[in-house]
Amino acid sequence: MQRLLKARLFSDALSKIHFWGWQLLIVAAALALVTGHTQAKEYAELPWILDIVIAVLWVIFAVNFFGTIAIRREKHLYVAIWFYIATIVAVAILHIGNSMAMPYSWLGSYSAYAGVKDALMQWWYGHNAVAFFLTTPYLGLMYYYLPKAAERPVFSYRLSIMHFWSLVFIYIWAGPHHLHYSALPEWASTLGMLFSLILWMPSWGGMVNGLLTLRGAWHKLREDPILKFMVVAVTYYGMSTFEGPMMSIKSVNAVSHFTDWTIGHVHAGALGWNAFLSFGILYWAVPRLWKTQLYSARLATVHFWISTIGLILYQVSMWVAGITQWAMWRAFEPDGRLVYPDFIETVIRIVPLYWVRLLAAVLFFGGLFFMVWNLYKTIRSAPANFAEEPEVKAPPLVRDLSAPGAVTPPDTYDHALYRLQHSLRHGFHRVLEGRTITFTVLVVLALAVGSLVEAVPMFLDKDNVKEIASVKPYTPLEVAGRDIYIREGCYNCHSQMVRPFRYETERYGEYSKAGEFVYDHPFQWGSKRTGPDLHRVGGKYPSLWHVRHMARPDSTTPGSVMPRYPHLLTDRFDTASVPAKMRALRAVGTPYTDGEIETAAAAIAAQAAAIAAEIESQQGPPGLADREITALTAYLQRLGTDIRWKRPAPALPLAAAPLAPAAPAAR
Amino acid sequence: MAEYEDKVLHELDGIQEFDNPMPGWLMAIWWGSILFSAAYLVFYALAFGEGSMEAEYRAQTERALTGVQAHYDANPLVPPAPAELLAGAADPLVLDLGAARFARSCASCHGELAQGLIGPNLTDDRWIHGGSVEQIFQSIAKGWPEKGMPPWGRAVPPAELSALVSYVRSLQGSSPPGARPPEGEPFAAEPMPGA
Ligand code: HEC
Ligand code: HEC
Repeated sequence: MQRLLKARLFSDALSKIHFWGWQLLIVAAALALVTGHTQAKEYAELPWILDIVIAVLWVIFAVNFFGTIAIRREKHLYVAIWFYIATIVAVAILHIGNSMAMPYSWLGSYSAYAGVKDALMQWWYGHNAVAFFLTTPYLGLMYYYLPKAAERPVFSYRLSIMHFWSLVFIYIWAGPHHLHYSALPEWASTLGMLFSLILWMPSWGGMVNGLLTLRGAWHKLREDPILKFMVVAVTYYGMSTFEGPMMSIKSVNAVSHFTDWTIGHVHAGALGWNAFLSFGILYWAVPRLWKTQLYSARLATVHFWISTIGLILYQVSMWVAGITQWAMWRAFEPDGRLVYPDFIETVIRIVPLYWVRLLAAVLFFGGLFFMVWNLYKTIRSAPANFAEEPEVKAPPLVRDLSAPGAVTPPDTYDHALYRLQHSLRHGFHRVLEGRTITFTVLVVLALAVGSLVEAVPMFLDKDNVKEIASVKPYTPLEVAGRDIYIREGCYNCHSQMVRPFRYETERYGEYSKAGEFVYDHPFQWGSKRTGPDLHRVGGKYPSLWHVRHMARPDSTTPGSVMPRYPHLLTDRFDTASVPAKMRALRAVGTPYTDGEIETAAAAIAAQAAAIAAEIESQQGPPGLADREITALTAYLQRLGTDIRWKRPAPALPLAAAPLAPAAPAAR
Repeated sequence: MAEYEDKVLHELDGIQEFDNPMPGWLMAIWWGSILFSAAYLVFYALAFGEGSMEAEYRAQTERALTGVQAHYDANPLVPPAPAELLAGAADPLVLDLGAARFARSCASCHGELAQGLIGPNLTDDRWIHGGSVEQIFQSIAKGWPEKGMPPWGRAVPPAELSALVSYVRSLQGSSPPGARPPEGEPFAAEPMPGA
């Protein structure tokens, strides 16, 4: 950035605060998550107080960044800088938009949005976090380091302009493709799909500009590990941004959603594109910063190959696992039974692929050790005086007219026209590159269009979430149980969203309706089914089953890979905080009355006693009324039971035959 | 690639930018995806409109149920005769099949030895829903969902359903340790053939 703007960073103090603040934040985040403090929104798990810290640090970053632009000594902003402007602006909007929450304690809060709306906001954020955290800044890096490393000019300036603006404008629309076939209204899902398709070219623009920059430098690829890393990175970027639009087509998404395929898609992108580009950049920049030579190009090549093999193994294992899961979930016998009615069968089948995945990870991370060693040796070989740097100062920017010696032209019409022609000589965009504020405002506008078109109707038009009268707020005990569900991270393995497919309704029960989630702050639809969907688990099992299952999942489900949660049977749940939680929920729209909040403790005691008595009557362990398992069970038994539903089943010959297996009765 | 002019436009910090046009095939993808999306949108609005997912699901279910119906029309589900079920209780092959399925699907609630756990003891002579093999078959196939016993008729293949009944019958009077106290009415087990 300093080189591209020919200026020292605006403020060294801000840089230091930004750097150390961010490191502290990472430590705090790790602590918060392992102690179970999470908002349960993917990529936005951190407690609200850390969200505020993020926002402050981001503003510091922005001030430093735009401050440097303000004091720059180069008129035109290079394309890498455009991408950083987009990153800074978009991440700020997304982070603030999605993290809106009502705190009930220093670390706990409930999302301001519920159910379907929360899901839309979350994936507007989640998808664009990928876009503006993992894509645009990395494209910025690519536009600097790739031409540097290849010593070739950037292929096409026009393509840069085109793909930058289309990317910024279109990316923001694509979020709903994470919610196909869910309770999200179809228009939103359709928009998400179409804009994802249109996003194909803008994404590939970056890849093409990168790869074609290498024209005339391909022979260097053979010896140069740096270029190898960069080429694989850019190619992987292209691969992922092709796979992405394909996966947002609804019928493809029906296959990939909730399986390992989706996981593979994101992580292969992150490993292949972000990590590989970072490796290439490090190998290029470290020797230059320390004014020395890379210790060993051989080692870097070894790193390249083992990481590449790891990457490919990972990607293939995830594809195969994903397709296998889908094929097994949907397999029917000719007599209408599921071939694999026990979910665990579909898990056990892909366990070998998890071993492949582990091997892939070992290879990939093994490669890192080569890099660390290589860079360490490189830095050790630095000349003693590497830090001595003559201060270079570019001449200050001069506006054409005010420059000393510039003749102030007469203010005639002809001269004004001449000046206009002069500044437009290199095209409109060249002018824009000199005007940071206009440029930034345009980026904000480009981002705003898609966001508003999707969010405003969702929040204003009641038709999008059809009300269901029988859906009631959670009881105080269920609120406590739901928080345990969130704290334990159950949503990482379990979805709560039955899609309208026959193989899902046959396995889980009636598909999920938008109106059922109006009290879900935050929504818990999940995006990966390591375990079965839980939206209709309420009433499926006796309560004792849950007690035994939570304590030791393989005691009820042989071969289960679900972790054990024995502490739920010994730890007591926290009744005291429930009224505060209910007040926070009321602030975001759950209609609890004052009376309900005041009598919460009594309501909890009564419901817990009833569940504990049921467990005891089933010959379960006594005395569980104040334990966390009881609150969790209350929540699990409530799930999906607010509406009445029954499985569709063929009518006659089954019921007619006296002993024939009948359709499961309605619950 | 000679078709590009490679005219240098600008230079900054040693990086030059060419003035090349955008590759034609890339623009083709771009316009193609836009045209497709526009067409899809029109088609979608005209042909389906809101609620198409729901309609699709209904049609899917209808088709599947018709298929299942046709299957049963062609292969009528003949309820196993009590004699057959009882005979199975003495047939090691059938018992193996039943035991395997029991361990997989039933032991979690009835205990590994059917001694009773969450669900009742299946080895004693007391039955809540009747102890004849026909009644046991009914209990297993249709379940008692409101009381926590899932229906298995559509989760377990017919042969295994019968094998389960035979297996449960064979456990009669095995008095496993740690058995759940008896529940329901007494029922004298039907004699097995040849016994
Ligand atoms: C590592 C992934 C994982 C995590 C985390 C996890 N589960 Fe599971 N869960 C599974 C798997 C796999 C199954 C299927 C096998 C089984 O029944 O144990 C399952 C099954 C279940 C079932 C039975 C569903 C049915 O319809 O049979 C329930 C209920 C359940 N889990 C609840 C929870 C709760 C509550 C939590 C959080 C405390 C949780 N799970 C955390 C993987 C997980
Ligand atoms: C989720 C727990 C659960 C599972 C799994 C389960 N059962 Fe049950 N079962 C019950 C409960 C609870 C009852 C008692 C129902 C009642 O009280 O009416 C029961 C009752 C029965 C009865 C009737 C007993 C009587 O006294 O009339 C039979 C027979 C039976 N189960 C067999 C099976 C078989 C065979 C399987 C495996 C295919 C199985 N069960 C799996 C919970 C379960």
